[in-house]
Amino acid sequence: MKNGVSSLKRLQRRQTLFALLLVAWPLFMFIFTQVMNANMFVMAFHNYTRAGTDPIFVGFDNFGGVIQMFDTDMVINQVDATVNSLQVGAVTLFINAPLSLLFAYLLFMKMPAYKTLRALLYLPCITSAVVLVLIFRNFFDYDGALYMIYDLLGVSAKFPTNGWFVKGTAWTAIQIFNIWTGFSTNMLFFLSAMNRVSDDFVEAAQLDGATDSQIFFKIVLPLISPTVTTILTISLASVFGWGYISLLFIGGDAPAQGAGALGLTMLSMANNRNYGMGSAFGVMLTLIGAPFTLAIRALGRKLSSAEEY
Amino acid sequence: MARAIRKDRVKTSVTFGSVCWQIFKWTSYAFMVLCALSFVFVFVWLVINSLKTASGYASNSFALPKEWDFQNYVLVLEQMTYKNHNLFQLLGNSLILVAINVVNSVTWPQFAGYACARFNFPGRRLIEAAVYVSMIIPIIGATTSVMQIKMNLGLYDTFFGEFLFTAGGFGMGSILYSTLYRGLPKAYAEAAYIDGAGEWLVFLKIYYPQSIPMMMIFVIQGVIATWNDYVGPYLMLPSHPTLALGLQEMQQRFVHFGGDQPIMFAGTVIVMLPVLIIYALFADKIMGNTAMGALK
Repeated sequence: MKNGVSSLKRLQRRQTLFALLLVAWPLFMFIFTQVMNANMFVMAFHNYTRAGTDPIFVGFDNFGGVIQMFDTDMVINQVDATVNSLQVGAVTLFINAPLSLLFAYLLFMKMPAYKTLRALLYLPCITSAVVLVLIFRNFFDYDGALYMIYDLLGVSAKFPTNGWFVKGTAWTAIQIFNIWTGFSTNMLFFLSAMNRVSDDFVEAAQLDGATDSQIFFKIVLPLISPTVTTILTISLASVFGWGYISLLFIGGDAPAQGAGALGLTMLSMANNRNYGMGSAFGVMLTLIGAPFTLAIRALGRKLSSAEEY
Repeated sequence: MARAIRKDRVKTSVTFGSVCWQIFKWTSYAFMVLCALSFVFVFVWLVINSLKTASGYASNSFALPKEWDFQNYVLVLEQMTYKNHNLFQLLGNSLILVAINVVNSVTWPQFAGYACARFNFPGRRLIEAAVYVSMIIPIIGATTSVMQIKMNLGLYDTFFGEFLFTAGGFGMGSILYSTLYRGLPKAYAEAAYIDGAGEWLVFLKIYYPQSIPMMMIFVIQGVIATWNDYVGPYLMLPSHPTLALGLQEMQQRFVHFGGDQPIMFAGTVIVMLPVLIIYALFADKIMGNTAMGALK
């Protein structure tokens, strides 16, 4: 009995040491990264006027400047950018996530040509965003392929003559792009999780006369719910940093064309060397985004019926 | 009698549900096929138009070229440069960055994820909570801070600096690996302990191989992200430009000084090609999930 207890303690000690050895470098880098991030908080209270000179402490001025950016009387304001960022989140949650799950399940059921389809549907993930944007833009621009089709169908007059990337239609086009390219990565993660579901569960359910939809909702979805929750939490957390695509499509003029986003505003501030305001903007987004993301994760965990399998 | 009626009702309901599901399933399948074909179509379109003359592209981008103009690919080799770096130097820098990314992505996130999933070491919960919070701190705000620290350490504009600063571990990767390892039965490890296996053996021979499908996704995503990254090398490696910078520079020249779109398409094909080849060669490994089969 005594020997058993001491060997158990020895095993626990060995495991703790092994775990600490594994996390030593990642933990060091994690702390180091947090130090660099903390520097951002310090920078939010400073103004960086010229390179090579010391930053000037400005208190909460940068935060005041950020709040002024939400003034709706301004032509370009951050309320519109916030609405756009939330729309990106809505597309992620209500269109791309269900689409990823649905496609993953169709592939999991081994529908005809599923291997080929799986390979083709992953193509957007292996392609540069610059390339995808270039192609998409060439389709939706005024001299693009889509307008050639409009001409053939005789419906050109119904669409903007300057292409889709102008105020009024630019944001719609970018959302279409987001849907078109946005489901592939998560689809593969969901499929990977589904493939870990034991065949025994599925076969037993089939023997009991369960339909495909029942197998999905009663067996597959509950078993992969930890993965689904994690993926969705991470996807939604990235919504506040989204903006790169707008920049690639339209450039710095994106907010004026109705295609602004919170992430794009931060990117523009960094690009314009407006470090103080950019850092203040980042700090404010963090204070809003952190509880939001953690709440979604908590809700996901509560709703899911996670089981070890 | 009552039971028979109820059964009958259930049967009718199930049949109706099945029919609805079948309609939904095959409609969804048709939509999925359309999505897949749309990706193929645009790439074929790009390649075909990269082989056209400028006037051939302008007249009809859907038609096959009347004359196949391979000259675009020669011209683009001359035009894709960045600050005195030719195409091959750009390619070399891209490959070094890709190698750095691969080494870092197959080690540290795995270590962190495995330790958090399987062992209850002191501070684990605190670290996990901190990782979640850290993931939503916008990186744009920290870019200048990273640059300053790199410069102070003499690691700015060096590949070694890139290696060290990307050798993290905690983040999306560690969380997903942790989720994966938590889902795997502990019985495998217990059986191995009885056979006298140590912790490294249990990790490397039993659990690590089971993460290969997910790891391959991370590797391929890391390779693609590194290959396509523009902002990172532009800010952190100004003396070591990559292909992505070369393509962007060429596009900017087209925007400002004009040029033939087919030549730009040819440049795009050249940048895409290595990734497509890698994908064609390893698609089965990435997609197959074969590693799980042995233990099922």
